[in-house]
Amino acid sequence: MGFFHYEIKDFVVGRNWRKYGGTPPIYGNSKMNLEEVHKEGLEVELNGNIFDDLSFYVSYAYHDWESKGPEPQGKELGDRARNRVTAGVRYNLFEDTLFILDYKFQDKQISHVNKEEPPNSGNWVCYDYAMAEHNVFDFGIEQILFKDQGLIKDAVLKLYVNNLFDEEYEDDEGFPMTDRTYGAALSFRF
Amino acid sequence: MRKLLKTMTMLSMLISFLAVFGVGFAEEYTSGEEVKKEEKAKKEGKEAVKLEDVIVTATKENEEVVLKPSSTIINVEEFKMPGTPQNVMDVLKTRAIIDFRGGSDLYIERDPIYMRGFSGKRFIIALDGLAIQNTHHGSDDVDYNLIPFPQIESIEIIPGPHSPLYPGKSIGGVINMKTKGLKRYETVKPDFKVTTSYRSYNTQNHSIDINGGIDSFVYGLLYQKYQTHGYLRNHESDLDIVTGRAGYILPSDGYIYLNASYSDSDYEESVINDPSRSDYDSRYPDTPKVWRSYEPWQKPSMNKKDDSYRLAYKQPTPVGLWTLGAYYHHQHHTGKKWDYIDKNDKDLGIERISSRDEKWREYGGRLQDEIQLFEDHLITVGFDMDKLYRNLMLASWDRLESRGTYQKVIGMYGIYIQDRWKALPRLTLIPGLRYENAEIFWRNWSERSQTYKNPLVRKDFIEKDYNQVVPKFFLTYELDDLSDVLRETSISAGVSKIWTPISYCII
Repeated sequence: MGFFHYEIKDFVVGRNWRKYGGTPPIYGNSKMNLEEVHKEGLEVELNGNIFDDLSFYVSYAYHDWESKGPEPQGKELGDRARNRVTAGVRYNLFEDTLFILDYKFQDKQISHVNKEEPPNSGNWVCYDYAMAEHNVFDFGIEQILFKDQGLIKDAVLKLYVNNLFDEEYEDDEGFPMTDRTYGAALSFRF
Repeated sequence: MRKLLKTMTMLSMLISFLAVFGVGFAEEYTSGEEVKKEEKAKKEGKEAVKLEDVIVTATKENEEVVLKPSSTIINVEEFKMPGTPQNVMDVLKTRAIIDFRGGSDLYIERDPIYMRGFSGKRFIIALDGLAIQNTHHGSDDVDYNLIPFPQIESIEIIPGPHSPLYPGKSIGGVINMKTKGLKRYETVKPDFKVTTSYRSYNTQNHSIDINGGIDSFVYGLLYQKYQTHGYLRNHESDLDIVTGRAGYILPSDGYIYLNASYSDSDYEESVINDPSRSDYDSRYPDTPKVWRSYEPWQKPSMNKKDDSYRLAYKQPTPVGLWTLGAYYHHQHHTGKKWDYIDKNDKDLGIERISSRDEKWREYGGRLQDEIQLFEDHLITVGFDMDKLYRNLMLASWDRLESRGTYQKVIGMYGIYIQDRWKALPRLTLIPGLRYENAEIFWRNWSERSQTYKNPLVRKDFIEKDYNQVVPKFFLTYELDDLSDVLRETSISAGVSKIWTPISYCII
C-alpha cells in the first residue's frame, strides 16, 4: 500500500486554444505551462491464497490532481478518473483445470481531446468527452491436456470470454471499446 | 524559450506498507525417510541434531506476482489470465496503477497507457534496464506491439521517481521488462514452445519460441504472427516479428549476448461510420465524424518496419559487477490513403497517395558497476545515454531540400550513483544522485510562413542544453521478525526531486 504526493512547477499540458482562446498553433500541438500542480494518491496491491487451490489479487489506485495556478485550463486535470480497481480470482477445480476470472473498474471521467487530425492537416479536432464508469469481466478456463508424453512436455488448452457481460464503454477519445469476444488457445512445450 | 524548459521540482512522499500474506503457512512434518535416518543414527550411536526454527524470507520463484517495498514484479511465465496475451500491455492492464486508454485492445495503435496518471512523456519503459524512447510523431510513444512478448520473463513496475538509475522523465515510475536470462542446457536438444490462438474478429496469434545451447553457447529464435480484423471499421492489422539471439556464458558466471529483431506491421486507421449517412456499414460500431476525420473511401493504412539490435554484457570482477547494455533501433513508418487528385476539382477523381513517410533512428547504452563496500554498502555507479534522429520525408514544415535527411532531435546522457546501505538489520537506506544533460533541437524554421521563428538565429533548428543534479532517497524498514502477522511486511518512504526537460515541439 503506498501513498504519494507530488508538487510540480511548470507542468506542461496541451493547449486547448479553441476553448480557452489564443492563436492556433503554427504546426503541431501547442503546449502551455500550468504554474503549479499537486497530485495525491493511494495505491494498494494485495495478493494471496484463500485456500491452496484458490488465489486472488486486488489492485486499487486513487488519483487526485489539482492545479494551484491561475490557468483556467488547469481545472481539467481534475477530470481524470479518480478510482481504478483490478482484481482476479484463480481456482484450481481439479489438479489440471484452472478457472480464471478478472475484473476491471474505471471511474467516470471527462476526456479533453485536442488534436490535429490527420497530423499537419490544419484540421483541429477539439471536444470534451464525458465517459461513464465501466466494469469489465473476463473469464477463462485453462486445461492441461497431458504431460510428458513422448517429446511433448505438456499441452495446454485455454478457452475464454473477454468482456463477459458485454459492457459498453469507450476509450479516452470516445471510440467504442471491443465488445464481448470469445477465444481459444492451444500451446505445446517440447 | 524559458517556458519551453520543463523544470519540475517535486516533493514526493511515499509511505508504503506492504503486507503480503503467504497463506501457505509452513507446517511441521517428518517424512518417512527422515524417521529412518533418525533410527539409523540412533543405532549407530549418533545423536540426531535438532536445528533451531529457520525462517525463509526469500520470495517464491514461481509466484505470479511478487510485491517488494519499491516494486511489483509480474512473472510472465507464471501469470495466468483469461485470454492469450499478445503483448506486454495485456499483462500491464491488470494493474490499477496502469490506466489503459488505447483505442483498441485488439491492436494498439497509439501510446495507450498512463502510469500513476502520467502520460508516456513522464514515465519510463525499459527493456533489461535500458530505457526505450521510440519517439513517434512528437510523442514519446512506445510501440508495445513490437516488443517480443514470448521473450519477456518478468515485468517490474517501480512506482514513483525514487530511482536514480533511470532518466529524469521517470516521474510516474518505471516499467522494466526483463528478457529471459541465459542458462546452461543439460542436453543439446532445444526447448520448443508453440502457441496458437483464435479469437473473435478473426484475431489470430501464433508463435514459436526455440531456446537451446551447447556447453556455454546459447541461442534463441522466436517468430510471432498476429492478425485481426479489428472492432472498428477499417481497423485490420497484421504483424510479424522475428527475433534471434546468441550468447556465451562466461567462466566467471557473466555473459555476453546479442539480440536482433525485425518486425513488419500493417495496420489500418479507423474511419467514419455514421448511421445518418448513406455509406454507413452496420457491421461496425458507430464512429461519428467528430471523432475521426477519414472518410470510409479513403481506406487509410500504415506500415511499420523495425529492426533493432541489443547487446548485453555482464562481468563479475574484484571491483564489482560490471554490466554493459547497448541498443540500436531503426523504424520506417509509411502510410497511404485515397484522396482527391485535386480537391478543387473533384471530378478529376481520386488516387492512392502517400500520407506518411518517416524514418526514426535511435541508439543508446548504459555502463554500470555494482560494488559491495564494507559489507553494508552496495554502491551502484553508472552512465547512460540515448540519441534520437528523425527523417521526415513528407513533412511540410521542413524545407524541401532538407527532407529525406536525418535530423538529431534529442540527445541525453546521465551519470548516477546509488548507495544501498543496510544501516541496521531492519533498516535499509537508499540515497542516490543523478546528473542528467539533455540536448534538444528546437525547430526554428516554419515552412508554412517561410520564416525563422527566431530571426536572429538563421538555422532551421536551434540546439539547447538543459542539465540538473537530482537527489533521490528511499528507505525501507522491515518488520519481518517482530511478529508472525508481520511476515514479509515493511514500511518504506521516499523523498525525491524530479526534473525533466520535455521536448514537445521537436518535429
